[in-house]
Amino acid sequence: MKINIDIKDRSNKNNNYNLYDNLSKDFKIIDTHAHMGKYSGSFVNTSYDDLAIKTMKELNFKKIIVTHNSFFFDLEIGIKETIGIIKKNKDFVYGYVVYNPNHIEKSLKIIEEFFNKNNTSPAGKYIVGIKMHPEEHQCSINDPRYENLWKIASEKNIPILSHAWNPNVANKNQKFADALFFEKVANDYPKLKIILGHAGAKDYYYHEVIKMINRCVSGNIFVDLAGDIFYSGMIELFVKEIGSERVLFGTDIPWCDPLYQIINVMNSNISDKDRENIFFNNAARIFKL
Amino acid sequence: MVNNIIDCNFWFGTNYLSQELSVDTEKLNAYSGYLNTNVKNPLIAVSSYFSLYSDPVDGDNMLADLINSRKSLIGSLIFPNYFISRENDFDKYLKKKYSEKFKFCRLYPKTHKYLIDCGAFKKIYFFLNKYCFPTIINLDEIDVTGNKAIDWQLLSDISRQHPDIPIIIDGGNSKELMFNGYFYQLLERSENIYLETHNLLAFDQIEDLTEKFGSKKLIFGSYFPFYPEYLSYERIKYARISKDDKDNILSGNMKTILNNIRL
Repeated sequence: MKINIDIKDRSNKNNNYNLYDNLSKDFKIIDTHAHMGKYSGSFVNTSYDDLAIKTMKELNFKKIIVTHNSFFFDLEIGIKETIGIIKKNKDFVYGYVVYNPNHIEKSLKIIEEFFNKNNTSPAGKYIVGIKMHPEEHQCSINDPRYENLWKIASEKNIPILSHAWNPNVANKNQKFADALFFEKVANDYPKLKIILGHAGAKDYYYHEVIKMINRCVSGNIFVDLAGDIFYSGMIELFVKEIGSERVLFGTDIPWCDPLYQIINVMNSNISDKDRENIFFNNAARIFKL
Repeated sequence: MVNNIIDCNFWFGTNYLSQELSVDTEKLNAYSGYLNTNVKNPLIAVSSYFSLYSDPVDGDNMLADLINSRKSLIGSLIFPNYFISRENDFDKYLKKKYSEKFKFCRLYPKTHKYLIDCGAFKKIYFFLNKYCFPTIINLDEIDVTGNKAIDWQLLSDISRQHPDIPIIIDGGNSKELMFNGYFYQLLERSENIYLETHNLLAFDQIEDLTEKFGSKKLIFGSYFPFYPEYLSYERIKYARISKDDKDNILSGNMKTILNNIRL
């Protein structure tokens, strides 16, 4: 049974609210870390995709790169859902394909199909990166099952976005996603573009992440600001230590309202040029958007 | 521009684990300055790290000096576990602290090693209920395993058996309020439960809760210094809800609760 829920258009109900007070009007935004689709392990509004897209457009998002939540659990359903949402929101929604280290052949087949130069499918050009989720798939970043991914992504110049976290938190599965594991990967594959989701920063781990990035010879490790990582001074420190060219904007919607990330970047003590890099330029460059 | 702000989740003093998270008077002044640029008479309910980490009685005595020196400050007392074995004395203590401008009671049962179920904590709840004294419960403190196994039933029982205690849920460092559906069920059934807003992080969550339960159930907390001073406030400022709802969340609901204290 398909449950349809109408988009809530609150702007009609509340005549007296001033929409965002032009919060981010001076900046174009690309969200490199968004999710769409249902996810029963967390309680989120049952059907939020359309409302999320409407809200993000109002906030001056120009493009969003999405992982469909079903993709983590079923690669075939995931790619269909991803294409569906891309087609429905043409030129706004872009997608990641998911690499599941527990289903290597299927994962590689999808990557080969969508990153093949001969791919002429209309949705093909909107698939722009690969997402991996070591915590969800319970496979450590330093596990050999990712070796094929590093190779193919490096050869074909495909950016990888990985969930990355502090391994010392209560959730034991986060140990699989220790951001520091990427030091070896980056050294072994210096051309590979790796984005550390959530900046690997939870609970002040960003101090360690910054040290690791600065140890790497490769200049191809990036961080995104998605998720609940609202530590005072963190954005400023990333900009100072690794440069705003390596910091990407991400929301982690629906787990975070996009307002949080925008407010955080807008209030950070960085230059407008840095803000432009974070909000838009870096993603446009890395994903060729 | 909103009418006013009452911040019920602000921490002061030395955080022994972090210089960044320590708040001295200079940082307090900077925070007050930030609020003053947005509203005329902000009110900050201060909690003391020393009370949490070392000694609630001594810590809150020191805090009393600070809050009594400034009109814009009130206090959140941290329940001293001393009263577990001297329950009747808590009545006198609560009255004394109230006279020193303490308007909230925070419970840290896990950190301070006591039970807060309706049986074991009966007498303490009796006084809090008698005086309609706002009580803040941190979800990390009722997380049974330390990994998102919150004892939601406990909150439901406390609220049902003590309907005059305004129970404010502080999500703390827990991600539960952004992930969980239980609290929707809890709000549905419990008139006297309120959610502090700082970690209502999920997309459209504040708007959705306001639509479903009305803005009366939400209470503003900055969670400073764990969050930057602007984050929680601006989330409400830019929320996709009416100005009246924003005013309720930022100060109106808290004002009503504070005016109801029977002391």
